[in-house]
Amino acid sequence: MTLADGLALALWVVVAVLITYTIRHYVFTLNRVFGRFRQPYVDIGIADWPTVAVFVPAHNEEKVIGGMLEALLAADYPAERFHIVPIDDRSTDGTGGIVERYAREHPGRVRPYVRTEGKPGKAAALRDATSRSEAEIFLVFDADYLPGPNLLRQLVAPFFDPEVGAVMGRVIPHNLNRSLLTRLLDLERAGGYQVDQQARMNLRLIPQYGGTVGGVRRSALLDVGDWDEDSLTEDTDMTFRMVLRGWEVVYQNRSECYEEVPENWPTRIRQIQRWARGHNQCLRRYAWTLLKSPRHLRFAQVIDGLLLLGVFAVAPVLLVGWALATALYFMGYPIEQGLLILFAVASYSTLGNFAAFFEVGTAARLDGSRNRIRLLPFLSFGFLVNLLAVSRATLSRRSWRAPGAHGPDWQKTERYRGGNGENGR
Amino acid sequence: MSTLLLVALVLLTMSWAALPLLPAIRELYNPTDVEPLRMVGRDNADISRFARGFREYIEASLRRLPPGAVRGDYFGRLPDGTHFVRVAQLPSVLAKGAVPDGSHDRVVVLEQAVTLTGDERFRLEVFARKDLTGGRGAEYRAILGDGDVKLGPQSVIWRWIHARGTVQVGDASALFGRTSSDTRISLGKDVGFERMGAPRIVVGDAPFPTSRVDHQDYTPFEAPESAEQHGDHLRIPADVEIGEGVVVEGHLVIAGKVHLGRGARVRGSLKAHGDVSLGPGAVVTGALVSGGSIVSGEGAWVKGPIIAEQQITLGPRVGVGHPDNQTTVSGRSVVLSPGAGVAGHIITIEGGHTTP
Amino acid sequence: MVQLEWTGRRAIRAVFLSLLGFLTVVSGLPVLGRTWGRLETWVLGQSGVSVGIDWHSIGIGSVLQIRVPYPLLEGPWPSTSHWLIVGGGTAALLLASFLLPMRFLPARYFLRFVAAVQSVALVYFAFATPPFPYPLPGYIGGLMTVGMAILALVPIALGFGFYIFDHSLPRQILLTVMIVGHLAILLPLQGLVHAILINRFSLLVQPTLFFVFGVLVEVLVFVGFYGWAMSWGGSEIPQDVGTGARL
Repeated sequence: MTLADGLALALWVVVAVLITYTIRHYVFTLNRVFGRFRQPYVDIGIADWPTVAVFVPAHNEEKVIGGMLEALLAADYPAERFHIVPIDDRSTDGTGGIVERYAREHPGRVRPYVRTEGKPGKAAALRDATSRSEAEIFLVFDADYLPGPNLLRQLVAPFFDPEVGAVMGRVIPHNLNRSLLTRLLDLERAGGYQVDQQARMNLRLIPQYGGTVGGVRRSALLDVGDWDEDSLTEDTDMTFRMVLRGWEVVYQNRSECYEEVPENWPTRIRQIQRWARGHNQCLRRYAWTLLKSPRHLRFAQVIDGLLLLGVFAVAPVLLVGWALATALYFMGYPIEQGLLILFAVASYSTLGNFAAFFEVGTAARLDGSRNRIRLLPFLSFGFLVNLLAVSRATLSRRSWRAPGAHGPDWQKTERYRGGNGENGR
Repeated sequence: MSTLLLVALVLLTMSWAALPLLPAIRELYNPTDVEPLRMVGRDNADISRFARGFREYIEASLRRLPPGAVRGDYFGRLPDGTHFVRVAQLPSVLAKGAVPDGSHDRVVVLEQAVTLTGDERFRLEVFARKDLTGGRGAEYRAILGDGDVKLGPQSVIWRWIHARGTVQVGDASALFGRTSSDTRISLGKDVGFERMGAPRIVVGDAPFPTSRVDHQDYTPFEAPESAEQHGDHLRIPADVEIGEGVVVEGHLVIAGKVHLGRGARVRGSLKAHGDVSLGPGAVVTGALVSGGSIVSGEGAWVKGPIIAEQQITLGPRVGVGHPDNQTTVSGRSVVLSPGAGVAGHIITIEGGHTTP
Repeated sequence: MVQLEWTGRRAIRAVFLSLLGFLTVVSGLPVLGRTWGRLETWVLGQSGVSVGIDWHSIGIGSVLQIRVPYPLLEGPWPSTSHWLIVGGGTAALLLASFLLPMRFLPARYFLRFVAAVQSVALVYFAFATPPFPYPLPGYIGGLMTVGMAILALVPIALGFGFYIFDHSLPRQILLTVMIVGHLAILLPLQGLVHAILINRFSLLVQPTLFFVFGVLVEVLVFVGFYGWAMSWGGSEIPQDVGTGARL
């Protein structure tokens, strides 16, 4: 075998990976369009509701925390069955004061938890705060979200199923009119939730708990060993620990909540790099365990889990593919064999691997919001940024170091809303 | 080739290649679809949402009518232009609004208790401020009743019906959309439905079935060796038969099918990935969940909710929930036998019916 | 649209339209090849380039013989001046990428990507000796052949991605015709531009044209049309049939 043959073989492996993800996009999208829509819990509108604690981790969130607490206080959930725990983790702005005011005005319903020591970061904050709560269900919202009044009930409903360990709702950007980036993120989110997550739910694969607009069952949390405070993405980590221990993760497409998406590229890059590093941590920790296939998992779940874990590792694989293709080109590898062309097309259509065009277009169409689909070609540019940002994050040592070898800090996404006056719905 | 020609050719090619991007560029600079998706906050589990919306609409509309329109019988238009008829004295005036095929194309406001003769077609909503008794074979778009509403046999509701009093549905009727009552829904035989909500939903005239007495002489459940404890539930990776009079303490998850024998009891929630069958008098004091179908035998009781991805069949005198502690029955389809009762909501995807 | 029902009729329609489109395009390729040949001859004649065209033959069994035209322009091995000009252009691109404001980050990245590919070519040609593995006529012939394959695959790609939705038949046909028609014009223009640019700036620019401005342009065109067409109304879009004001 010549060097060129070896490189060609490696390139074929890259192409195979890309085609696998392309097929995944097709399977998910076609299932979402034509498959049986599975959302068995969302219609539970009346029941003997369990006790719920809603946690809102906050680190310097003065711009948004007030609006979040107002929205939660307006929730249509039996007042005696739920309370709100804003977690003020060493905020240096006005967050603490706002939270204290709400606690005074709503005694018993708003029970702040102030952290002044311990490891920083969302996972550590949640670990400390949830360990002090006796509620049966823990819901978690980031401080910039705006839940509607019915959302708590909808998110709690799946927990009537004793096997459900975690629940995830749908995130919908509300600041999409700010820039091309916000509009592209709106399309990506649509593809990710309306198609990807719901198809996983339909196919009984592994929907992902996303760390906000969702929650966990207390007993499940304790069963899997609590939040991992060293994890950069405690949501992905929790998803896989739940699934590996036999708990179900449920996605509810109709449990929607508004969020603020990054409005500028540097913020977006930081966000996606954090996701990539955290996801890759999980890939390192759980891929082998998944491959060993616990007996309660079906083969399709194992494959889906591996593909989900590997989703951020595809970006550098793609870059390697480009490097291989370039090398082969200059070595005179015959174009007629079609390999390079095939690679180019396959990589283009799965670039960044977050939402292929068909999936995104279909998702927006499913949402009944069609004109935004016209922006599809611009997604290519967004994918290019994702590709490079994620590759950089993936190739960084932090992605692959053992959890605990570093101290995760608060990885905050910039907020854009004004003061509390703009926080209403 | 001259540089000018080359530049022209390159520009021409680039322009032609960029042509398909025009809709994208136009949408970027002249956005037409830049509002956040509006579905946030919707809640289909709210059974009487449409009825509340209509009440707000009709009451606001009636308040804005001229004084002459709120006295006696009146044909006219609501402020938004919708035709309506107000019946305060003579129900026979309804005939004035009828078109030759017997259809009423007006919103009908009934100020007094009315008994209809049957076979009417109300293409717009009926608002009954007092009791309303329908005749055989009538069709209604929607009914809002402040008193009791009694539908005759073979009636059809196309969108929704809500009453502050009892909704009594005649045999062989079809209830599309939402059916709700603040007190009780009483269903006849062979009644089709989609979504219902009331403190008491019963088939027939029997009283609401109550929960069973908890005896002390149960046999404790012996879990198979393959069972594993996960958090607060016991997981069994196989089909399970829970014998007569056996009691299970705590939540149970079965990877296959499960059958509860006569009088067996689960003091917690029960989930099976496969089908569930409850023997006569079996009791589940928590939720009952199935990835397949659920069939409950005579006199069983489930505190609720009941969730099944296929059909739910509630046998004779099966009770779900309690009027003071309502719950939800949610399945792809639901079949109710005589005497079965649900306190709360019944939600179906493909519809349900009472047995003939 | 919440979801669609997968019916035999829908499947048959998607498969039928895909096959019909595929066969129609394939059967039109010989004519298209001859038309491209005339276009290339005309453009080269108008521009005063005294070269002809040659034909690359593709046979689909004994059923169809397609001849793909390509100009017989030569791609010179880069001279020092070529290297300096293209090198300067690459440096300018790189510089421009840093001067663009942050809100144009994707454009910055794209320019750097182009510059990176071009830099590799610059390094390669600084050390390599002739001949280059891909002489210009063969390269253009390959590009045009791949272009024809893409044309034939358009209806197949639309089969799963577009025909499955409830757009009217005229709209489904319209999209197919638009994409195929657009690409049928774009491909020979693209081939000519590549040929003339390589002829003018040497083989130094061929790798960049191949990797960045080759097939990816066709895919972008496809996505552009597709995104537009997916925004068209279809019968599966939910219609408000109720008295919405009241409900």
